[in-house]
Amino acid sequence: MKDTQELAAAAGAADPGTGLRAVAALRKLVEQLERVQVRNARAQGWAWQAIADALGVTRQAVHQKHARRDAD
Amino acid sequence: MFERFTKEARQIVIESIAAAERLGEDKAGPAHLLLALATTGGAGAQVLADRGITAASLQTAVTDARRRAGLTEDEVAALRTVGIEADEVFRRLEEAFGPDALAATDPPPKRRRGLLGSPMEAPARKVLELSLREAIALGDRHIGSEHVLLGLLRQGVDGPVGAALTARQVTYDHVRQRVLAARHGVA
Repeated sequence: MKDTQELAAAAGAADPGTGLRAVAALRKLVEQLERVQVRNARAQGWAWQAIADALGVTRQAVHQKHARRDAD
Repeated sequence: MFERFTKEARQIVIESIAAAERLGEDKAGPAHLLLALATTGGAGAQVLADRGITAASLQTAVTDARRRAGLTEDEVAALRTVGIEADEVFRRLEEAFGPDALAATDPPPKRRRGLLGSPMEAPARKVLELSLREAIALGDRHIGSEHVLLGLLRQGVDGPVGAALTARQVTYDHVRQRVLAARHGVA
């Protein structure tokens, strides 16, 4: 894919477009990682408070974000 | 409308519902119809095959998209520019949590459709309506896979399966030309 090669070649270049797109993609990746890890922690019996501590957020925040899925 | 469907077109409808179920989705949408069309064979599938689109290639597109947890090709490339190899991240997650680690983006739908509920989404039903229109426009009495494909292209197909059509330049005009050419024996 041409775009892919161009983007890879632009690595380290100070182009804001490339840099910002990388940030956006990273944010998406982080969300996916968090989802997988929280699900796994819950499956292993971790309490919401423990998960929140590990993530460095409040218990309420992590509960609000993930509890609905967890209940399924 | 269904009485006008050829056996092949009926098979596509049935197979699309089965495909949706296999993928853990509640109802069949246009993407499932396209998967089913490629699986079932016939004139529509032939047009796809001539552009390198097969049931297997579509299935791979679906699997890859699920593996990548919704990250597009471009997003994976953008991450590479800052030194993150997303495919390596996915590989490790699969290693640790199994092949479905990232596939389940949402909880599986809890609501099962009632006995009277349609097993097809509204856009998929629309595709079938459009395929009838395509048959009428071509002066055909019956709806075959080529009409379903034209209906799909009129309606538009979302997601990785739809992207495969765009990537291989399978457009409405292309398919219609192919259908007409086959009629005149110059396929």
